[in-house]
Order: sequence, then C-alpha cells, then structure tokens
Amino acid sequence: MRDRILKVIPPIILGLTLLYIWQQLGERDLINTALFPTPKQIFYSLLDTDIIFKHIYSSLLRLVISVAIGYVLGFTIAILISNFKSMFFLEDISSFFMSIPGISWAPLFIMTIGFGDKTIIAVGIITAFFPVLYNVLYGLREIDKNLINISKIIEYSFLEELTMVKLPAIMNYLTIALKLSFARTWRTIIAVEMIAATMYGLGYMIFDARELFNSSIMFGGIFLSGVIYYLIESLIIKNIELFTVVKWGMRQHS
Amino acid sequence: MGNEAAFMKKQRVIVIAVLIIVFIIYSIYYNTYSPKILVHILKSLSRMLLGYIFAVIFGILISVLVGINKYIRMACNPIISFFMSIPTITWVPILLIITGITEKTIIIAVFLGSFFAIMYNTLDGMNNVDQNLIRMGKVLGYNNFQILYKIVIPASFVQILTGLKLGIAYSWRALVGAEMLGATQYGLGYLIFASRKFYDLNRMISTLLIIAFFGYLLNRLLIIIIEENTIVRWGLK
Amino acid sequence: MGVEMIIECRDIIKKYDELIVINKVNLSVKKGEFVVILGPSGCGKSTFLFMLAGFERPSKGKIYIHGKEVKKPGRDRGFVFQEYALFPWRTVLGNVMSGIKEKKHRREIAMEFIERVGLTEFANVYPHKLSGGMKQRVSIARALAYNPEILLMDEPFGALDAQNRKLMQQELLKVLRELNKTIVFVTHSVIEAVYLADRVIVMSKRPAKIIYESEIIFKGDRSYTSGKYLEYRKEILHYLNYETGVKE
Repeated sequence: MRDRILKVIPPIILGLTLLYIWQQLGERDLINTALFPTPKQIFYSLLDTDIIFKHIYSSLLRLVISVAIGYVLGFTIAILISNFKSMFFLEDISSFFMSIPGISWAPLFIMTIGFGDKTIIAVGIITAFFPVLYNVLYGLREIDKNLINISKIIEYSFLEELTMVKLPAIMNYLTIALKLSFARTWRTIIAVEMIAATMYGLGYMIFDARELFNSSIMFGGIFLSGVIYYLIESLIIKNIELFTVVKWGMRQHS
Repeated sequence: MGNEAAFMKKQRVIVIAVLIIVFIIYSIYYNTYSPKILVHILKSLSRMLLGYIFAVIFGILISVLVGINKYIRMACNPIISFFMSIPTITWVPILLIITGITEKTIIIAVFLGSFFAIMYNTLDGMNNVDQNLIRMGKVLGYNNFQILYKIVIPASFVQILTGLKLGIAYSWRALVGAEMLGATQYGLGYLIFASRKFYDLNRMISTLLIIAFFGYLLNRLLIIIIEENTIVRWGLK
Repeated sequence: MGVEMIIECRDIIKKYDELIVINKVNLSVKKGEFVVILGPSGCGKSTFLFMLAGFERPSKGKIYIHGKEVKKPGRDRGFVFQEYALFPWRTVLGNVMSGIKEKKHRREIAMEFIERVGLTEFANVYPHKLSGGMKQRVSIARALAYNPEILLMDEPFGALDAQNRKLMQQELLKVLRELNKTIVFVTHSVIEAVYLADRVIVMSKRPAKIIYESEIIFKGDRSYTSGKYLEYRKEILHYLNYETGVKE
C-alpha cells in the first residue's frame, strides 16, 4: 500500500507544478491567453457548457458500441484463422488493411452512409477490430502445447477445449486486446467526430469551438479526452485485469 | 509442420499477387493516375518524415536527459501516458489557429503524434535496465555519465526501437488526419477529403489503398534495416 | 607479523527493514588468499559479497580494504556475477576491453586474457552465441583484464551443469595461477568450496553468522578424490547438514 502511494506522488507534484507555471504565465500575460488560456479559464468554460455531459456521453456510447462489436468480430475471426487452414489468407488481408489509419476510412463512409452516428461507429468498429484480431491470434499461437495435449488426452470437444482451456490460457492477451482496442478506438472516435459528427461528441465539440475561436473549449476538449480515457482505463480495465490475470498469477500487478 | 508452413506461404503469395493485380487494374481503369499523385505522395511523405525525425531526436534526447533520475522517470510516466491517450487530431484545430494553414501545422501535428510514444518507451527502457549491468559499470569505474551512455542507452535500445516503431505508425496516422483538416492543396489526407467533396469514390478508394500501402511500407522497411544491424546482431530479438 | 590483512570486516550487521539478514559477521582476508564463503541458499552470503563490492552498505559495522572504508564499488575489486552480466551489444573482445583504461595496448591486453580463458577463436563473437560456461569465462577474463587486486565471485558456476561446473573450477585455478589475486568466492556447493579454497567459511541459515572456519591445506594440485580432500569435505558437510536439517 505504501508503495502505491509513493508511486503516485512524483507525477502529482510534476503535474501540479506544470499547471501552476502555466497559470502564472497566463496571469502575467507572458503568453497570449487568447491562444493559450490558463487552466482556470479552461476549467470554467468547460463547466459553462451545459451540454458537456451530452458530448461526453455520446462519445462514450459510441466507444462502447464500437468496442463491443469490434471485439466480438476480432475474436471470432481470430478463432477462424487459427482453426481452419483455408482462412489463413484473412490474416494477410487484415495485415494490409491494418495500416490504414482509422480516420482515413471516414470520408469513405461519409460518402456512402452519410454523416452521424453510423459512420462514427462504423469506423470505430474497424479500429477496435484489428488489435483484438492480432492479439488473440498471437495468444492462440503462443499457448503452451502441453495444455492442448492434455485436452486432447481427455478428449474435449472443440467447444470444451475452446472455453475451458484456450480462453483462460490466453486471458492475458484477451485483456491486452481489450486495452488496446479501447485506447485506439477512443482516439479514432474523437477524431472522426471532428469531421463526421452533427451534434454531439467530444470531437465535434472541439471542432465546433474553432468556428468561434473558443480556445478554452478546444484545450478543454483535449484535456477531457485524456482524462476520460484515463478514468476508463483505471476503473474498468484495471479491474478486469485484477480479477482474471493477476488473480491467476499470469501477470504481475504493475 | 512443414506442410502447413508451405501451405501458408502459398496462400500468402496468392493473396499478395491478387491484391497487387486488383490495385493496378483498378487504378489504371479509373485513370486516377496522373503524375500529380506523385506530388501528393511526396508531400505527405516529406511532412511525415520531418515531423517524425524531430520527434525521434527530441524524444530520445529529452528522455535521456530527464530519465537519469528514477524519481523523474516515475513522475513523467503517467503524464506522458496521459498525453499519449489524447487523439493527435484534437491538437489540429488549435494549431490551425496558432500556426495557421501551413506546412508547419501538419509537421507539428505529426511531431506531437509520435513524440510521446517515443519518450514513453525510451523512459520505460531506461527503467528496465538490468541492475547487474549498471553494477558492472560501477565496478569497472565508470562515472555516472559513462554509465548513462555506455550502458543505460545500449541496454534500453530494444525498447527505444519499439518506441520508434510505434512512432512511425502514429506519425502516419497523425499525418493523414492533420492533412484532412489542415491541408489545402497537396497531400494524401487532403486528397481523400477532397474526393469526398467531388463525390469521386474511385479516387478515394485508390487513395486509401495508397495510404495503406505506404503505411505498411514505412512500418516494415525503415525499422527492419535498423533492427538487423543492432538488436538482431546482439541476439536480443 | 608477516601477512597483510587487506580485507577487514568488523561486526557486520545487515537489516532490511526489520529483517536481520546478517548478524555480526567478522572476517579478515589475507593478501593472495582464496576465501570461499559457503552456506545454504538464501542465507545472505551474496548480500555479504555485495557489501564487500560496495553495491550495498552494512546496517552496522564497517568494511575496510587496505585500511580504507568501503563505500562504493571500485576498480580495486573485480566482480563476477552468476548471471554473467555481459554487455550484449559488445563482442567478447569488447567486453573484455571494458575495464582497461590504457587505450594504447587495450586490444593486446584483452586478447591475452581471452587466450588465457581459452576463447581466442571467439573474440569477435557476440555473447548471445556462447554457452553458459563460455559466457562465464568471458566474465572472468573481463574482471581480470584490468588487474584489480581483489576478485569477488558470486556463485559464478551456479548456472552451469555439474560437468561444466567441475571443468570451470579447474580452469579457474589454472587461470589464476601466477596472478596472485585475493579472491572472495561465494557458493553453496561443498565440493566446489573444498576444491578451490585456501580457507572455507561456513555460514548459518538466515540471519547469517559464521559457524565454522577451516583452512584447506593441500600440497600441489587439487584433486576431487584424494583422501585429504574427502576428509575436509566430510567435516564441512557435517556442519552444513546440521544447519539445513539434513540427517546424516
């Protein structure tokens, strides 16, 4: 417990110091506050925006839907690829498409299915899909052969082997896949919102603020996207890890 | 086992061949290839490389200077993670106001995209250096500065390289996004965005393919050359 | 008063928070002596060696080398780790040259020691291609190449299999011949201790203290099977077994 507290102190000190310096620079007019508002200004203008929660909620909702669908898809295809030889080619195709940055898909979808939620979630699903595909595939390949041998000896069916041996064995990769999926999809969703959203969303909020030169909101949006992601990670993902991977001793608690 | 590997190889070759053929036929048929595409590609590549190189230089330099002390490393870690989780594109609107609609804006966006990832991995590498190697340095009489550049940096090299790899992927991503919002004439990102305005689906798709192609290429080529000569030789891969 | 005590440890106590790891150890080492510290695993003997090296400081008590207190690592005490700690980005030659300060004859001096440990053909090879025994030889060559007066060795052959271990023990004595080094060597193997040492110091379980000391007097070359060797071994093993609870 003492260690954890010790770990948290230096970053807090550094963070507060930087914020303080920034605030001071702004108050003493050493930086242009029209372009670089002080932390306090940012904070208050965020509070002012009464629909800020709607923005956050929209973005989060899109995130969750995208990751849910993308994860299931990625997982399924990974299982297909690793179990059926004829499916190997899917991996190479995926490899190629993986190098397309998420946001570049956006104009394509905008043109075909229009603006709004549909496009954002579509791109979100694509982005969420790849990390899952890769990590599950990799994990399946790395399974200790002896575990599989044992399940063959006791003659597990395909489904039994999958759920009782393979899944727990790759739990580490499943959680890493979830983590990466969330991280990348969050970034991409906010980015896509900037060009494809019509009313709500953090990305939209930032982009919209540009019209009015409201730099406070712009910085605020940037800051929020980081903070909310940090909350997602520490509240949800860390706990999933704790209850599975750390409990089974498959990974040290960092 | 040999059969499976051979089968996979065959599949792989067929897939790549098919993709290339489709790609060529598609672009020739739809005549989206005027020499102008080269200008777009070159512009995009040059912006990305510039931003990336700055990120590498400053990323590694600052990390090394700052990361000597264990506590500073601890302090920086969450803060850099925080910056890493911010979508790079969100910086673009502000940059557009501050530095205008110029090359600088795009390059700075690319820089921001990869800088934090590089710094994070470099610091992490420095954190995970085998204590015995550092002790050995002290036994040999190295002073702190020598321990830093003779031991800590080579020992962190694997992780630094991971950061560089991530940096390339993030740079490319940042580039495309920044060009979509901030470029007016040239660039692959601009091209995609513009083709939407002109409802030119074919141009859009072929541009997408080009983006994928270069993203893939950059990822593989650049790093593999460096890797072969360092960590593979040292047996760390 | 003939022989010089170059290492003196007085009333050494080492604690980690409340856990006492080393409880009042006194040790003196003569110049040119090969001292082996023998003890059950985890008893703290490596910690003691680390304090001699200067990697850690005793909680109480002081360590003196040539009358000066040891506060940090130094070029007078070479160190060989159990895990080799070779620099993977340097070749064998590069590693052995690591400690040599004179730029002029660095290569020649290093090659000399590489030859001494029998790895001449591997001078330009990277460590990852070598076997465990070979890596340890490089580690030893590196430690000796810049001529420290004292050599500290922390279970250097612990990661090797039984046969290679014996081979390395013989090699070590051969390499050290004529070099007149003062050695402090840590191990948990009685066989190894009696074969190599001029003096064996047996430590207890944690909290460690010295429970037995024995001078090993051998005329001529060592042997694993001579009567004298076996006698010493039996005696020391007796104390060790008592400590670890092994019934004889």
